Amino acid sequence: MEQKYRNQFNEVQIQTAAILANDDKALEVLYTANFHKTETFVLANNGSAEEAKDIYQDAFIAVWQNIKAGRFLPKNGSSLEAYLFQIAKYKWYDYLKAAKKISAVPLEDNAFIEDGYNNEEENYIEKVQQHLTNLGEPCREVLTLFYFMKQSMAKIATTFLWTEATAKNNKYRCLQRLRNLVVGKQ
Amino acid sequence: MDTNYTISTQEFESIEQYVLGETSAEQRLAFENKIATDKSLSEKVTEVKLLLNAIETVSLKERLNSYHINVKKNNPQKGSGKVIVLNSKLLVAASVALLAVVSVWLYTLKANKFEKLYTTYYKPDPGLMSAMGVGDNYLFNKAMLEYKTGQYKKAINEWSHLKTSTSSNDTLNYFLGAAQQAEGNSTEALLLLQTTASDPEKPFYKDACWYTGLALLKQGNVNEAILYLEKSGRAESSELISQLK
Repeated sequence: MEQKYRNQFNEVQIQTAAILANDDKALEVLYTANFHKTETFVLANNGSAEEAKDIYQDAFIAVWQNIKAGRFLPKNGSSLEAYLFQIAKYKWYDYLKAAKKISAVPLEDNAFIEDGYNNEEENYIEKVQQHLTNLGEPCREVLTLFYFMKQSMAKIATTFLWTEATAKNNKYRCLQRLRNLVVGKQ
Repeated sequence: MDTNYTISTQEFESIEQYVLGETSAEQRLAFENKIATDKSLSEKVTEVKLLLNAIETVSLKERLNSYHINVKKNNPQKGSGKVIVLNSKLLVAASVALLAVVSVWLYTLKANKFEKLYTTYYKPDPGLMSAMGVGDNYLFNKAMLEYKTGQYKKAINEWSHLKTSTSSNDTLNYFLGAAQQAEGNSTEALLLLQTTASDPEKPFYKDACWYTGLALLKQGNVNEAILYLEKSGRAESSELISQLK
């Protein structure tokens, strides 16, 4: 993945492209390099290690979503890390506020992290998550390989010994099945 | 968000290409014009975007915990910064999200001729005679016993575990498919059975063709079903095919 971009782009563009491609290595590096900062902050502000992990993972997903949707474009590596920490901090204050441990999020930490979804849409996404967990194999695997790992239909076909046309049909069938579960059809 | 519509394969494909950015600039523009004038298309596009995004998000979420294991390894002073730990409970996230999605679905259960034929012709594969062995074989046979006694869910569960650890064992693949089909999960069954039905050299090739054909029939894909049924060499297949043509 990285080699392809090495000559034309700078480090942060490479990193952003890798994140957009859900490159496992790039995501893991970003994740592990920044957890401690959030953990230290949460522990120093009435939180436990477990809560630090939950808040950090929420923030991590939000950052990834925002990069994907073009709502945040990292200018350099440190701006990405700062953004991740800012969102984690905001989410932690917001959590404390909801638990009535503080009365308001400190003004300077009021990071604007609108994810662009309304409640109905949030609800839909939650349902997909819930039903995807229950979707049997190999449907789940096919969907993950294609939509997350960005594998080609040709490659997936080889894995399952299908023709490419069959693979395409099967992916559609699985998606249809997932959708039916989500919207409540049989 | 009203989701009371169906999205055809073709329609889905064009929406997906647009959402994944696989269209040319011209196609993109044309499609966007269509969205602007066609309200139902625009709703479908919104839904497909949500669906695909959610699939990606779940996949990422599942990976985060494995990333986290490496965080722990590199963290020498874990917990040392802990000042006060209040016994705060986790947010009851769901409590707020009670805005119900009101979408009504008409159960248009077409009296399905194909489903009826499916019910007439489908009998689960009887399974293998098995002597309890050791190791993976023991687990395989234990699940086989469950399969043969109609405990399909249990068999599916255990064979699924074995499948990830022993990868491409064709017998296992075939019977996991058979169990999924017996349990009524015809999509999952179809995917598994098609793998076995891909190669005439495989020991369960003909059976897999038969059951693949039936699974396709149940889903209403008659033409595709016939192709597989023809390859099954079953006595009943020509009789069934004649009712389909």
